[in-house]
Amino acid sequence: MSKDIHAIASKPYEYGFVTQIESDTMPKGLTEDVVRLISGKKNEPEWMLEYRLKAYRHWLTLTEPHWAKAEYPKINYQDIHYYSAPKITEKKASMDEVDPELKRTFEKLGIPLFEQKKLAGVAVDAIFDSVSVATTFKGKLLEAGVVFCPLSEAIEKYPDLVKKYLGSVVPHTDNFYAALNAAVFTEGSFVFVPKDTVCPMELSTYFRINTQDTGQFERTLIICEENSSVSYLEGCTAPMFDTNQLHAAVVELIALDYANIKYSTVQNWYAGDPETGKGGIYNFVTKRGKCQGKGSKISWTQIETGSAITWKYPSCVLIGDDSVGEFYSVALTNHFQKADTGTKMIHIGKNTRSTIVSKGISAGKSENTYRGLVQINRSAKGAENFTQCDSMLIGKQAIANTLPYIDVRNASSSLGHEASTVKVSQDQLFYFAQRGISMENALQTMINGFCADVFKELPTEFAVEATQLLSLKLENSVG
Amino acid sequence: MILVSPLIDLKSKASQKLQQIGLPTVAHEDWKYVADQDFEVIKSVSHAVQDYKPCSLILETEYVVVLGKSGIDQGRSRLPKNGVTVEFGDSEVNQNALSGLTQSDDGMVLKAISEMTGVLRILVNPQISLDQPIHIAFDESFLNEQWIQPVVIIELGEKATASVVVHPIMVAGGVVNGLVVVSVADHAQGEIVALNLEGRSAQFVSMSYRATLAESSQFQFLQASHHAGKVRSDVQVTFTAPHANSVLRAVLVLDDQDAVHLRTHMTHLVGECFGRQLVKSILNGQSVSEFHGGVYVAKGADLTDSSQSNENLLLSDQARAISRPQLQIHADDVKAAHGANVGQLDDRHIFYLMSRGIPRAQAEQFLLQSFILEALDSISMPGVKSALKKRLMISGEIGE
Repeated sequence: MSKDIHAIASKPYEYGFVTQIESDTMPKGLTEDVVRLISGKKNEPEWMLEYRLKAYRHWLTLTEPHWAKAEYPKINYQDIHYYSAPKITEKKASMDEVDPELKRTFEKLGIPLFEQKKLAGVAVDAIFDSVSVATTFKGKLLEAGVVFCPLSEAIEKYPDLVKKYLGSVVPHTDNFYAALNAAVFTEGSFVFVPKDTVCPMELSTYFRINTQDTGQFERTLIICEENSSVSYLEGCTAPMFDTNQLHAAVVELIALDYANIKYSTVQNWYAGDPETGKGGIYNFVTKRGKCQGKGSKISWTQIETGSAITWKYPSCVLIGDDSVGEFYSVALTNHFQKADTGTKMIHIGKNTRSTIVSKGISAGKSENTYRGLVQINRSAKGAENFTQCDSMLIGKQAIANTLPYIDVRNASSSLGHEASTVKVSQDQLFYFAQRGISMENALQTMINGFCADVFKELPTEFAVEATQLLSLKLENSVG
Repeated sequence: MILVSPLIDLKSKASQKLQQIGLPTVAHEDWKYVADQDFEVIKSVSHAVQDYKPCSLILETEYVVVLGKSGIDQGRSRLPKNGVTVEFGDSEVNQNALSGLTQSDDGMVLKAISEMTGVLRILVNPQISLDQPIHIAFDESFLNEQWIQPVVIIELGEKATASVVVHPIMVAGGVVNGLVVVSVADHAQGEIVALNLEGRSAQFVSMSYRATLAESSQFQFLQASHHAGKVRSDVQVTFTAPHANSVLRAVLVLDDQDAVHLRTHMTHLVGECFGRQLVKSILNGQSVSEFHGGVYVAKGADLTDSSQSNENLLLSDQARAISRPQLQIHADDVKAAHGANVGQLDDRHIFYLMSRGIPRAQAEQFLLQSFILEALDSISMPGVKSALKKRLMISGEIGE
């Protein structure tokens, strides 16, 4: 039976193509002049340049962290392009004016970029290397008072909001990659949902790294005022290169009183060559949400299937009383991938609640680590946390680690943590085979069952995509 | 006691490694929350502590080894006669048992080896089954030391059975840094109860236990902490052959400034072994418990069944529970799990008992007792079990 499973053909990474498009790429290397140049290219105001320079100078004082369970060749930060943009920097009034080659790329990626795809009901901001190429449905969103635009546009049009919130959740002093991002971020999405507003549609951003040796440093800032809510999705792909590319993003979410932010990610960056492990994306991102207001809620859902190495800990700082943090994650690693991912739930306000459901699947020679912190501070009276982190191992070479950190400092809160490790057993596969169900379908069904708690948290459109993505990624891996 | 060459060689190897890695510090991840000692500058050593009487836990029929700085106090010891060797000194066997540890990455273990003045060795011959436990107690000769570092080796031959109780070392101001190395041969059964009592007057108490299990062997360990002071216990079990079975338990009843860092780690080098870790803490006052549990399943160690559980009851807003139950799984056909809970006494349970006429204080007492009873009931030695139950359960601190 094992041989049968091995015989299932492996499907190559289908987003690995390179778009041949003229681009404006800055020479490799990082200096203060490069930071000034990036700021200049974006026509940024003086205060923004100062912010970047401060971060850059701080970054110079930091050393690269190496605590996570991943070994990789030293990154040469002077061997990276910090800015690359398709040569169509003017935002087009109509989608027809966008370079047809670029449009074809987004079509290949299945992004509903065109206005005629209104039925999809998703507003999209598409980011190609360092710049935002197109944002759809802006008008309709503005009618509702929702601002959804590239961050560079927000810096120009809404400087007060950006000044107030940028770096308020992840300051440039937070960590090595946050400092680097603050210095050189080139694009990202900005969402502002005003008081008493429910965003009328799902918002979505697609990130695409196209140029070789390019780093992508996007920055996303989402602010939900009192009684407002938004659901935001992001997807990521990259072409196949045999050199590694760095992706060091920062995402900041701010939820005021009774606001609700749902942030979903399907991450499918190129994971490197399946046979040799060469190439792939280093995905070192800092994602954090601040539940600042009373009764606010931030929910992270992530499907992590790509990248050579992932370090990612979407976190919630629960400051407001009765605020809620959630983290639902499926992390799948295959071949030579290494994922070190999890969350941090910091309980500060009274009666704050958090839920963590993490499903790790490791196949091939990959290593999958859950690392999570639940910290219930003295002030967080009546706080509650529930954590469940399960691992599934497929194959003899795979590794699964579970590294939770739990720290409780008051006597009125409660916390429960459960974890287990299971395998796809031959008995279960045999059961399916007996009933005429193919190995492929059996595996898909079992994975779906294992991850059901997370998939049900995804918006429907993403849930279907995530299910398919997982089964594709796992082909040829069960034995 | 003058040491002969084998131990000198071990000491020098351990010392070299210690110079490389140094003693653990606050910055060391494992010590992050508990220790705030700078071990190099410990100076004050004062008088003996009188309030702990080991005899209260030792029945007259049980064996006792009273160890002093320079050897076994034969007058106060009651040693088993047949099939058991109890000696203090050095030998080839000692060297074998300790040589692997001279390259340990734990500075406390290295320091204990590099500064030992001799080794207490208890050898239970194959097929020998001891009907009474052996108590290891320490005499007053240690009291004026800055560092008290006994090294004990316990070896159980094939199909041997023995229980050992390690009593605390009473000291004021100094640092206790003990090392106990256990090897359990095929089909043998070993049990250790580590008493971590009345350590508050010591600056720091560190105890390291290293057990190696052979085929179809069994090893049970229980640590009881009360009035513990600042403590670090590090219990590591290595499964080297299939069908071995080990259960590590700890009951921590802490109050005031007690801070216990407990590390339990199971390394499954081969498959088909069974491991359990169960740590229960009751935390009052400003006490801290940090549980750092680990399960490592090596590649190919299939059919391993290993799990860990950490349960904490917080009775005070100033107390703190830290839990890090960690799994590292490199084999795909294993059962591995962990669970951690932090909470308080359940109001519904208190109400249930009160509705049956039991006063609140007593109801709380019952619930706390039942919480730790699960672990204490596993002790096979009746004398130690009843004495510990009495001490931990009737203690005025619980339930107040």
